Amino acid sequence: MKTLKTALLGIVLALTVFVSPMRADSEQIITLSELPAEARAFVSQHFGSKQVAIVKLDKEFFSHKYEIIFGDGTKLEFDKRGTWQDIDGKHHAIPSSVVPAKVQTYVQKHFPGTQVIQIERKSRGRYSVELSNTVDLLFDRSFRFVGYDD
Amino acid sequence: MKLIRRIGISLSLATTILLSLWAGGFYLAMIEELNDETDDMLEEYSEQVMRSYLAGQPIEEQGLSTNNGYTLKPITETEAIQAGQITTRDTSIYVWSEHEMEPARVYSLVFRDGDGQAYRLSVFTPTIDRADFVLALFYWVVGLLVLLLVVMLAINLLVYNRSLKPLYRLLSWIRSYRIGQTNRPLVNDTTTLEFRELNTALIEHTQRAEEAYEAQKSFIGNMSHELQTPLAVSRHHLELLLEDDTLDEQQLGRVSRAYDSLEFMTRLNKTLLMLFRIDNQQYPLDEEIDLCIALQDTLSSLREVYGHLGVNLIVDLPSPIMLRANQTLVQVLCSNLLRNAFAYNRPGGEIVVRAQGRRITIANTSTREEALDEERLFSRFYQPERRSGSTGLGLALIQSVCRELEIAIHYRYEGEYHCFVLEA
Repeated sequence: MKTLKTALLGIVLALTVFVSPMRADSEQIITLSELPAEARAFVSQHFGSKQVAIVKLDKEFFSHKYEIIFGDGTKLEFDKRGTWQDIDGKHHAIPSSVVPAKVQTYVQKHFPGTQVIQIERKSRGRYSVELSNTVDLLFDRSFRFVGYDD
Repeated sequence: MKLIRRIGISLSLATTILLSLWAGGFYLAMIEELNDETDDMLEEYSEQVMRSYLAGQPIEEQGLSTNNGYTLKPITETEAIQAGQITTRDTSIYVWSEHEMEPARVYSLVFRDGDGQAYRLSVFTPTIDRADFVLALFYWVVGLLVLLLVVMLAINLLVYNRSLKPLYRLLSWIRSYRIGQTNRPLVNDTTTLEFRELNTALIEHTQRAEEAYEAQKSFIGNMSHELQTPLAVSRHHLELLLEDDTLDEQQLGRVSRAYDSLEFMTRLNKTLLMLFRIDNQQYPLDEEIDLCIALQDTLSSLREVYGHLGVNLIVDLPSPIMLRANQTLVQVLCSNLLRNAFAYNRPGGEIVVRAQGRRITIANTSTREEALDEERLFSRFYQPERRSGSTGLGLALIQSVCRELEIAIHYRYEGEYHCFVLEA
C-alpha cells in the first residue's frame, strides 16, 4: 500500500511539473538599458536618432527574444545574445547602414528605385530581404543572391 | 470474496485513479495551449495596430479574426509611469451587434510615439467560442475517459475469465471427488504452467490417498477375517470347560463371564466384517425382495422373543414394496431396525410400522423421552446410554445397508415416538 501511495504521488507531481512550463509568463516590457550590450550598441549605432515606442522581452521555451519598436513603427528583433534577427521598417526604408553592401548593390542593379524595407536572418545562414515593391529576395551567408523567398 | 470481484475492484480503482489524473492533466494542458494561442494572437494584433499607428498608416479594424477590436488612448505622464507590465485578463465587454455583454480577453500595454506621447493600447477578442470549445473539450475528455475505463475493465475481466478457466475446472473436479468411489478423471488441458503443475499434483495426491484408503480397508478386512478363527477356537474351548463337572461354582462363573466377553467380541467382529463387505460390494444385489414381507417375518419372530414386554404392535403395510436387493442385507436391515424398536421400548409401550407408497415409518415409544442426536446417531460405536451387550454398531450397519440398497433413512422424534423413516 505504501508503494502505491508513493507511486501515485510521483505521478501527480510529474503531471504538475509537466503542465507548469506551459504557463510561462512570456512577455515583459523592459527598458532600453535592459537590452543585452550588443543589442544596445546596434541600436545606438544605426537607430540612435529614433524615438523608442516600446521594448519587450519575450521568454520563449528555450530562447529569449528581444523586441524594440520605434516611434515610426520600425521593429527590431534580437536573440538572447543581442544579435539582430529581424529589421523591419514596415513600409518605410530601413537605414542603409544596416543593409550589407553587396545586397544594396544587387538591389540597385536589379530593382532600381526600390528600397529595402526588411531584412531577416533565415535558417542555414541565409537572409531574406523585402523590397518596397513587395518582392522578397534570398541571399546566402556571403550575401550572394540565391533566389526569391516565396 | 470471489477472485474476479477482487481483481475487478483493484483494477477499477487503480486505472480510474491513474486515468483520471492523466485526463485532468491533459485537459489542463489543452486549456493552457488554447489560452496561449489566444494570447499569441492578441500580441500579434497589438503589434500590428501599434506599428500601423506609429507608421502613420491605416489600422486594420478587425485584425486577425472577426470581432476583434482595440482601443487606443493617449494617457498622461503620471499614468504612463504607473503603467506597469503588459496585462492579459479575461473580462466582459459590450458587443454592439449582440446588444449584450460577452466574455472577452484583453491584452493591454503602454507605448510612446515619436514625440514621446504615451498611449494605452488595448486589444481584445471575444472568447465565447473559446468557452464553448473548452466545455466541449471537457465533455469529450470525461466521456472518453469513462469509455476507456469501461472498455479496459471489460477486457481485463474477459482475459481473466479465459485464463482462469482451468482453475475453475479443477475446483469443480475437486468438489465432486469422493475418496473410495469411482470419480471422473481429471481432464484439464491447459498450456499454463501453474495449472499443469496443479493438475499433476492433485492427480498424484488423490492417487496416493486412494492407495492408502484401499490399503487400510484391506487391512481391516483381513484382520477381521483372521480374528474369526482364534475367536471360534477360544469359544469352543470355553464351551467345553462349561460342561466340565470338575469345576466349582466360582470357577464356572469365571468361565461364563469369559465366554460372554468372547461372544461379544465375536459379534463385534462379525458386524465389522459385514460392514467391510458391504462397503466392498461383496453382497450382490440380484434378487427382487418384498421389504414388507421381510418386515413382517422379522416382527413375528421378535414378538415371541420380546413377548414379556407387552408391547402393542400396529402394522399397516398395504402393498408390497419391491427392492432390488440381497436377502442377507434385507434381513440384517429388518432385524436391526425392529430389534432396536423392541429393545429400547418401555413395558406396555407401542411399535408402529406403517407404509405410505414407498415410505416406511418405524416408530417406537421408549424409556428415553427426549430426542436423540441425529447427527451422531448413525456413527459407529455411538450409544446414548451404554448398554451391556450392545456393540453400538447397529445403526451404523443399518445406515451402510441403506446406502447400499439406495434407501434414504432419517430419524426424528415426534410425540414421544422415536421414528425412523425409510424411503425406498
